Amino acid sequence: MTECERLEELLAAAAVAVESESPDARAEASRALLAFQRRTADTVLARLAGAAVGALAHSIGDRAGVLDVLARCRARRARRCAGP
Amino acid sequence: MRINALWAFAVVVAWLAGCAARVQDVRPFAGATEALDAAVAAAYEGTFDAVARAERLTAEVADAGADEDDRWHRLEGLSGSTRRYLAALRGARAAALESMRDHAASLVAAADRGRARIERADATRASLVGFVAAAGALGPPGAGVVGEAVGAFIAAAGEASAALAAHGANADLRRRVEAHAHAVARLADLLDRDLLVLDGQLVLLGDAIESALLERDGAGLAALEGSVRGWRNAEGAGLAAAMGGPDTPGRGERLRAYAHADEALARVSRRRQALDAEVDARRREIGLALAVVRAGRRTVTAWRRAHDDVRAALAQRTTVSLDGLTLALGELRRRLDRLERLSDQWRVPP
Repeated sequence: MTECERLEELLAAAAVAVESESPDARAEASRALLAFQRRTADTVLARLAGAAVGALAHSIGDRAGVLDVLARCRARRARRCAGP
Repeated sequence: MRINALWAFAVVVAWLAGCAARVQDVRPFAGATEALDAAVAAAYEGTFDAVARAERLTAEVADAGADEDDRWHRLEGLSGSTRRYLAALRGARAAALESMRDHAASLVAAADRGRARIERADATRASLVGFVAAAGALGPPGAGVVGEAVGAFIAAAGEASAALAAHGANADLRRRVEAHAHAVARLADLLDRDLLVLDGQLVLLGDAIESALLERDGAGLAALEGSVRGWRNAEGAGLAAAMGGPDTPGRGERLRAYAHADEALARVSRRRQALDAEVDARRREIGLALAVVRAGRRTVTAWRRAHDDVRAALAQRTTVSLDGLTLALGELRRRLDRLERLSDQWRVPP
């Protein structure tokens, strides 16, 4: 699995976790994204993972806003990974 | 009939005199209510601090470079939503906690009134017994024996009166405790659920803080390290030959490039160590805030149990053991002290 594919998987899981309203699922999604951010050598993908982690921390206050950030991260990831 | 009535009266007096003239001690429960209030406040304070810290780091990262999706500004908006949500949650519980402090204070006042009645009964009995004894000593022969018997009856009646006062006070306490039992259980459930929310929130905020630190201090480290190591691996054989071989053209440049690569890797390592130290410090801080929240949950449980214990003791006319409550409060106090000490070191400037 490429890093692009892995990040897409993590962002999709994060969106599901936010929808589920399960604190454990959110914590798991956050930890996985953080581990990805720490490990990846691709700075753009790292920033996108970081943005998702930052958004997840606020899913308690504005779930729709968090889902919007995650959707933007996924779109940005798709543009980055489409590449020449 | 008259003798039966007197006998019944004597039995009641003897029974009342045999009852302990003691009003249930409710002050520890009142203290637990104050501690609960402090525990909930500390849990929210720790979470608000974490939100503020995440916000500050987010702003620092935003200053470091604009993003085409403007995501950091969006995160600041989300952070505001989180603060408003937490503030609303805290406000909603504040009124309930206030009513519980009123409940605890009313229990203390009722118990104090009962104790004052007992003291008055004791004082009356002592003065009457003293008066009868003095009258017996001054009266005709035989009056002393009668006086002694009357004095004993007055003493028993006085004890009965004190026991009656205690019984009345405990009955009053029992009515109050029973009337609040449902509200206490409901509030304990709500507070426990709130603290569980704060627990999950702190875990996520800890990740967000670490993520922002990675972005601020660690961006590009993995890429730099990867590229330097890749170059060294690719050049490895040639470099080894250059180091051990003759002084051929270009050998000096290759060796200098090799040394530069070593320096770059050492810089990456130093930056990574500094980053890890910062991350560890933030993790410890979040860990302490989490410990306060978790101690707060145990305080909620102990507070609820203290009320249940007072309720059971009043129903069964026994005394309450507050060992569990004392342990929970002691633990909470220690956690708060540690958090306070560390917060002084790491507090976010206003």
